[in-house]
Amino acid sequence: MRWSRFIRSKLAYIETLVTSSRNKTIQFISRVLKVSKAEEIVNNFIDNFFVIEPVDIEPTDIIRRLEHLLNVRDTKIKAYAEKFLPSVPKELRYNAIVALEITSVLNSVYKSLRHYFLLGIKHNNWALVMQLALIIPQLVKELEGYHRAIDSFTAGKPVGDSAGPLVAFNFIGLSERRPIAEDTVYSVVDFEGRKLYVIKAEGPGAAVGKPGEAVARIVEELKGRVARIITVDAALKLEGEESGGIAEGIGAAIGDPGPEKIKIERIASKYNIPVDAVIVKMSSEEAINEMTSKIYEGVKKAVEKVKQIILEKTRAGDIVVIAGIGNTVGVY
Amino acid sequence: MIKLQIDTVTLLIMTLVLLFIYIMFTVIKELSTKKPEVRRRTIAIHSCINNDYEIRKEFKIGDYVGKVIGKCPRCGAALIIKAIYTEVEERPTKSIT
Repeated sequence: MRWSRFIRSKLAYIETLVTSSRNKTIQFISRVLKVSKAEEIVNNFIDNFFVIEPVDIEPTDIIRRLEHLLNVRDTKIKAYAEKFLPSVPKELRYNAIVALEITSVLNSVYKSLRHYFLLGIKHNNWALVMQLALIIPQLVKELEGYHRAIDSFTAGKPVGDSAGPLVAFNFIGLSERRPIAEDTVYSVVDFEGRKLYVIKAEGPGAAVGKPGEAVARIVEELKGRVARIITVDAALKLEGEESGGIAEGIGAAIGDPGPEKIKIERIASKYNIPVDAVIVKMSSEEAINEMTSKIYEGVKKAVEKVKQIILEKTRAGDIVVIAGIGNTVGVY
Repeated sequence: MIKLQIDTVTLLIMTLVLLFIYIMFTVIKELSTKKPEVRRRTIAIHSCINNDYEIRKEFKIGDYVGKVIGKCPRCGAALIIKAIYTEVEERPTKSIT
């Protein structure tokens, strides 16, 4: 009885988060983007656009199939946004898509939790209800982070996950952006005698682009004459670790479901190019909310770390590919 | 042997006292575990591309890192937004325990 009362109160709170997120998204679309039928746009979005995962008992080509499904979903969402927000600039349209996605996630989690709770009550399954009661406070914390994230994306402020693109910006400044893959650009700059090909998502709208594809294309165009690939991304810290701390490792620092990461690994192994990973540590809540001063300090440290890797592990005249991975909201 | 006799009024008073203690305990516990007040202020760093001038400003809607906002008052080069971040200030609420 006590467990169920506790869960009921938490579910009621989560429902207020869902309603509030929905209202914030509707307000952003109707007041800021000045588009009518905002309620219809939000309501039609939140229960649709799910993805059925590819068959994994036959793993052949699973990455290609997963990439295809993700591309189809991405295209479908962009087409939906273009249909209902045709006159809205691309950056703001992308910010609206993220706000819609956040509302959709909150709604899905709320419905799943309610489902398990009602199932436990219906079948008098107290083990299920107790498990739910134990896990729900942690989930509430995560969902509060998601709820707050809508404000960052609708305002167009950089978030914690923008650490990678911000590191890339520190190298390229306002230099020319050339398109290389969908929503992805690169710039060529000189640094201490080395030629840097710096890749990031196309900003300042909320986009992550296709950095894996971009790295693969650039390396192929250069026929593998790349001394080093350096990936920079935000990474989840362990509890007890300081936010904004950095670490250097080996491999592709990219948190996608797989298709982008594998492209970097494949091209690097094909041409035997060393791959470095520089990460900026943060919590999952910080990753989706406005960038804090601690994380910005981490970005500055990451820039210095990348410079150190270039100076120590490459020679003048070498070509280095740097990929700033993450959501580029608020970063050109 | 002393016979303990409790009349209805005494029982009622004892119940009320216990209830009062319970309520006070709950209120004190609630106040002492209240979340600290969090103040957030988003800053945009305006900087000259030649790095000879820098100023902190409050973030405005439409600002983004890399936005050209004018000319540097010192050298006349482009003045851009170099960084946008939020300063988080936690103010612990006064605890009465």
